[in-house]
Amino acid sequence: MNPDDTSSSIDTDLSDLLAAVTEVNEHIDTSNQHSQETLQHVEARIETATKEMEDMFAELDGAETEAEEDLDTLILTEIDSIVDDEV
Amino acid sequence: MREAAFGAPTAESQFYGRPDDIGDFEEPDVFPDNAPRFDNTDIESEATPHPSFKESAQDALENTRQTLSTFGEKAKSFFGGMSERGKAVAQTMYEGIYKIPGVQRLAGKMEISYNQFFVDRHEGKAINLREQATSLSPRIEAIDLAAKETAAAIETLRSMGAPGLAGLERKALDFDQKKLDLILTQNSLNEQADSRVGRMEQFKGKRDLIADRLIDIYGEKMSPIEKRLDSLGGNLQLAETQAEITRAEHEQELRSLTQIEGKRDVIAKLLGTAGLSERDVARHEVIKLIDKQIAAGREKVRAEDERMKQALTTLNGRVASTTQRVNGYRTRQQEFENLKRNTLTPEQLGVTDRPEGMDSDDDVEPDGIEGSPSDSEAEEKSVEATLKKLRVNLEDNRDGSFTKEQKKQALQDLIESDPKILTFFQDFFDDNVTSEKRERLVEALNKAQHGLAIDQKGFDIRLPGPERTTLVVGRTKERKLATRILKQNI
Repeated sequence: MNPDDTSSSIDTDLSDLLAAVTEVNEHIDTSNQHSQETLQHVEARIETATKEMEDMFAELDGAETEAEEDLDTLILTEIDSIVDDEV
Repeated sequence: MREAAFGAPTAESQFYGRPDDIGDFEEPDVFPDNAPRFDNTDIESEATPHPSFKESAQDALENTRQTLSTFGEKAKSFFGGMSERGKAVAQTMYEGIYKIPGVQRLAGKMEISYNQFFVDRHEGKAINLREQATSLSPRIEAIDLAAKETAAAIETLRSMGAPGLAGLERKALDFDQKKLDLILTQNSLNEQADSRVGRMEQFKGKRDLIADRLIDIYGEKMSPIEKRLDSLGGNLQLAETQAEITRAEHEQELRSLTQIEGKRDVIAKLLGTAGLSERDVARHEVIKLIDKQIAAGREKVRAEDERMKQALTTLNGRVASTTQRVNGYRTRQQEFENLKRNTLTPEQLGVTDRPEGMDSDDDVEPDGIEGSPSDSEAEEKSVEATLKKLRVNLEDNRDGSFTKEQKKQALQDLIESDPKILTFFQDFFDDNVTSEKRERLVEALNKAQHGLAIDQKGFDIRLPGPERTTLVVGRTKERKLATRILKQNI
């Protein structure tokens, strides 16, 4: 085989390889982009849901704090009243 | 809902401790049985004496300070204005509450408010007042009789024209006055008893109102929270699925890069064969481009994998912490509902018979729920014998020579070795004894193990708590109650 033919064949193979690796990188970019978009979308939804839940937790916490205060006062008042009666 | 008859120890009062043991508030140290149950208290502390016996004044002060730290401004201010005895009782009631993590403390306080102590104090007083009122009846009747006899005598003497009836008439008036005074006293005592019952009902009403209000709020708020939690789970699942797909694509892409790299090496060898030096091959423009692209592809895969990993870790953590928080509310909602259910009377619970040896002077059975011997007494004695082994295994080692794991193992072995234990707790299993249910029973008994004992009164389970709270479990229906409590301790 003519050395020029060999050289030309190698050049063609290298060009094919370069095209192939470029294509693989494009696939990587596409899948990474899709992955990032999906994850960002999910992160945003989780962020929104947890923020909404935080508001609900705050309402529950408020109700619990109020109940705790009411309970303490009720318990202490009752103890005081019972102790007074025992005197 | 009907409370237990006056003076009778209800299943609840046994559960929460005997209010009669409380005494008359002279010494707060005599209250140990009355303290509330706190399920998250380290059960090992059960083996130590009541803290009051060894607490120094400084400890007590610190205890008060810590307890006060759990109060809001209103309660703190009220506590400050209480009498010393009131403070001492409150301190005992709140013993250990500050050790409970903030989110669960409310449940502990709710338990305090459901302590039978409050009901029993009013009931005990009301009983005394009613007894005093009732004790006046024979005297009223006697005076009434004497008054009637005197009136009849006056009438007879008057008809006979006898003189000097003024003394007898004064006597008759005295009798009337005394009768009137006694009736007024009796009415006053009954009114005081009614007032006691009224105050008790008022307390229970306020307490139940607080519990109901919370239960309603939980009912209203938890549903949308649960929906959002489901949505969080769904989104997390979506993220994980996407990550799996991306990882699979990356694997495929990395394989392609490796194949390209192999072909690149073959061509580099061919170039070498054609006369190019290694240096020249490495400097070949296209090969340099290919090498750069391969390295860039691998780096992009690595970076995206790392980014996904971090994103998933963050999302998982966020969902886990939210779930944990929701679980806290779920637990408290359940505890409040259980507390409300636990206020059922023995009749409502189906507890109509009593263990032997339990009755005391103060323990008067209400009408209609007198104890009756159990048909399965022999079987229970056998179970008792088996359970005694447990007492030897567990209770005799309170010095801590047994680890929790060893105790758990001892319990496991005992239950495995004797099917009667399973029979005894048949109600625990509903119908089928599965290995999973057996595990749950072991877990529940393990939590109560430090207080599991047999004595002449029957089968005791002392539930976990800073103080000893004892449920005397004797026969079938009370066993059901024990089973229910154990289920709550899982």
